[in-house]
Amino acid sequence: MIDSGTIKKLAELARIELTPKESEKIQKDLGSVLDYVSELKDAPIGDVVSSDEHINIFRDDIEPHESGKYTEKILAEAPKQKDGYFVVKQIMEEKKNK
Amino acid sequence: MEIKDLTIKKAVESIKAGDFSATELTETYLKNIENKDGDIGAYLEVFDDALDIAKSVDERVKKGDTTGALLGVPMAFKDNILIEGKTCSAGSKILENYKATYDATVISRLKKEGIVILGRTNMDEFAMGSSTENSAYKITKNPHDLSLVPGGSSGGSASSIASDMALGALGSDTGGSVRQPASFCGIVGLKPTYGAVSRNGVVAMGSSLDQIGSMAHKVEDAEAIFDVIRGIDSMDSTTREYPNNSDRSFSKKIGVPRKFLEEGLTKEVEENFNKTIENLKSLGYEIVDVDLPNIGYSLPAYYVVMPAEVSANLARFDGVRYGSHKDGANLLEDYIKTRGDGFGPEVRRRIILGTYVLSSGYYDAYYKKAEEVRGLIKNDFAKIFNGADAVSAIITPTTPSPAFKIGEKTGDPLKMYLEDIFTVPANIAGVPAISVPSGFAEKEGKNLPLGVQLTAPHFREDILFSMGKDIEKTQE
Repeated sequence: MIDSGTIKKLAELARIELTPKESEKIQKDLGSVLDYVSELKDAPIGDVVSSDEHINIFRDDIEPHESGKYTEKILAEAPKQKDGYFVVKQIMEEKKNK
Repeated sequence: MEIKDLTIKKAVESIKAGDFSATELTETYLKNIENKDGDIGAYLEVFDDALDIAKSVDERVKKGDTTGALLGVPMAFKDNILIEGKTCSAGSKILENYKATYDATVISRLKKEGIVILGRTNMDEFAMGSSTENSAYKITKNPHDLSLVPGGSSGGSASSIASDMALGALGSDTGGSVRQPASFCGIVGLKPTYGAVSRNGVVAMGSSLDQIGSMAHKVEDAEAIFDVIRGIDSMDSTTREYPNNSDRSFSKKIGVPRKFLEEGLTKEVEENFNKTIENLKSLGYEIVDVDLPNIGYSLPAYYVVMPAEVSANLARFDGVRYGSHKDGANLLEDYIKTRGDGFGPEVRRRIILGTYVLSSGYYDAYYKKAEEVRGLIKNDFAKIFNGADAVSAIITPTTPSPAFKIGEKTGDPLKMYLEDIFTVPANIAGVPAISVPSGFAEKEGKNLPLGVQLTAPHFREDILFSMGKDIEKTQE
C-alpha cells in the first residue's frame, strides 16, 4: 500500500495539484491497480529474446524550413507571448540574505 | 436521399458518375446530425465549412476532375487528431481553446483524396477510458439504447457512424479504443499494425501502443480508409513502408485461445461467439484451439506501460506553449495549478500511477518487468502465426459483454480497465486487429450489438479484411 506521503511526493514530481480528498481517492485506486499488476512478477521471464517489430526509422536531419516560418502561428496558441517569445515567470531569484 | 446501405465505394462512384453530388451527400449527413445528435452527443463540433468543401468537390467533378479515392466522402474525426485551423481539445479542458497549427499526416492524406470533414467527435479525455464518460465536455450515448455508453475512448466516432451521422471516421486505439466502441455500436473498427499508420499530429497517449484506425459500417469501408492513411511517414519514425500483400496467400485456419476466454464472458457473448465460429466453419474455415500461455499478462503489463508513457507524454502540457494557463506565485506553481486544473480525474490518476512505476526503486519491478512480459506475449503470437501448425488469425469476442449502462463502471477504475481484456493484447504485441459486428444480444427488449475480434500477424491487415468480409456475409 502506498502511503499518503508518497502520493504527495508523486503529485509534486508530476506537477499536479491534488486536493486532500482526491489524494485519498488516488491512494486507494493506485493500491488496487498496483495489486492487480503485481501478478506480473509470476510471469516466466527467462532469457526472452523478442523478435521486435518495433524499430525506429530516422530521417536525415536536412532541409530545415526557413527560420521563423511558423513562429507567429505557433505563438498565437501560447497563453502569453511577447516579441516572438513565450513568456514565463522569472526563474532566478535574488539571494535573500546577502 | 437514402444512405442506409451506402458504402464508401458506392458513394465515390455515384459522385463521380453524377448520380448525386457531394453537396447532397454532405447535406444528408448534416441533416442527420441536426436531427439526432442532440440526443446522442457524438460531436463536439460540427464544422461550418463542411458544405463549402463539398461544393468545391462538386465544382471539380463538374470540370471533369474526378481524382480522389475518397472523393466527397463525409468523415468524422476523433478530437485528438489535428486538423489545421480547427480546435483540437482531446476531450480535455486543458486544450479547450487550442487550435491546430497543422494537419495530422492522416488528415493531409485523406484531404488529398477528396474527403469532406464534418466535425470532431467526443472522446474520453486524452483517450483514457472505455466509455467516453471521461470527456470533460459531455457524455455520448449509444445510438442503440440511449441509457448505455457507446464504449470508448473513440465513442463519439463510433456513435456517429452507427447513427448515420458520418460515412467514415477515424479513432485512436491504445488498448482497444477503436475496437471496443465499434463493437458496442455495431460497426467495424480497425486497429492497424504498430508502424502501419503515422501518428504525426495525433495527441500522444502511449507511444509504444497508439495506432490510428478507421471506423465504418462495412469492412470494405474501413479498408478503403486504411489504404489511404497507411504507409511510411518521415514525421513518425515508427512507420514502415507498407508491404504489398496482394499476391500473398493464407490458409483459412483460425485459432481460438480457448483458455483465455474461460473467464468472464457473459452468456449472450459466449453464445454469439460460438455461433460465429459455426458460421465460419460452414464457410470452409478450419477452427482450432490455440494456446497463448502468457496472454493473460497483457492487461497487467498494459497498466504499467501505458501510464508510464502517459506520464511522459502529458508532461508537455505546461501552460506555457499552448493550452490553458492558471497563474501561481512562481513558475513551478504555474505548472502545478495549470495541470491540476486542466486535467480531469482519470488523467491525473494515470499520470500519478505512471510517475510511480517509473520512479527510481520501482522501475525494475514495474516498467522493466512489463517490457519483458511484452516480449513473452509477442513470442506467444509469433509461435502460433508461424510453423507447420500456424493459424492465419486468432478470433475472440471483442468485449466480454455488450454495452453497459451509463454510470455503471465510473466508480471503480479497475472494473473499467477490465473492459479492455480482449483488445489490449494486440496493442501489447503490435499486431493488427479488427472488430466486426457479429449479431445482437437481446436485453430488456432492446437489441444490443455484439462484435468479434480477429487478430493477424504484423502487416497482414489483408487477412483481417478478407475474413471480416466473410463474417459480414454470415450476418446478411
